[in-house]
Amino acid sequence: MSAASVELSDEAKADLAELYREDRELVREAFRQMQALEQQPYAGEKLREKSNRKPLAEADCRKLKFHLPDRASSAEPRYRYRILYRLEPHEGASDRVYVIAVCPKKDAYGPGAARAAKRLRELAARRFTERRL
Amino acid sequence: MKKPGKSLRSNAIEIHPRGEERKALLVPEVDIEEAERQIAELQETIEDIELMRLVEERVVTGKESGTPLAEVIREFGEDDLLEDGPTA
Repeated sequence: MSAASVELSDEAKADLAELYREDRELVREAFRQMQALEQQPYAGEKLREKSNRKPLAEADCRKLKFHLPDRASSAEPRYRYRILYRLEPHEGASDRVYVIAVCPKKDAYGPGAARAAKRLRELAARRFTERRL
Repeated sequence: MKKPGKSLRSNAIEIHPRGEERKALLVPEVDIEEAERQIAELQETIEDIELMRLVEERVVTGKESGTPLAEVIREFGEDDLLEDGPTA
């Protein structure tokens, strides 16, 4: 079993402070999840980025879904919060778990979908330009 | 029917009220399940694209320094978590 140190970015700390105002127990659960990451840094799912030409900032990112343990199994979504983190120096040698954000589930509809579509178009345009250069 | 069709409508049966244009569709459960699976997959992908945007906003060099978890837990006054957890 691999062990890693967990460190939080200033932004992730700010996310937690905001969550703390909403629900202290939720933040405690986030801390428990991060403590578990020390022993199981691969517990989160890899983000689905199709490109293998990722900039460093996007590489090796994972998300760990969580909610209060007593949340009803029928609740939708089952896991409303995410710990977004990156394994460093890279996947396969995870000495450090760097927590980038702790945030609610991103909406897949409405503005979220529109922003995602815009970003996909931007990515496609960037890759097209890169190939031409 | 065990295998889903190519679309929700592939295996659907149309039902028309007598003499009317409007209709309802009877769709096999296997097709509904496949559609739900695909929607969930797309939702995850869209969410991840949104999360990537967040990563881009917050991570610049890839060598950012952070605050150790135990220190953050203490800052929040939740020291009791350190007694049981591996962070202790």
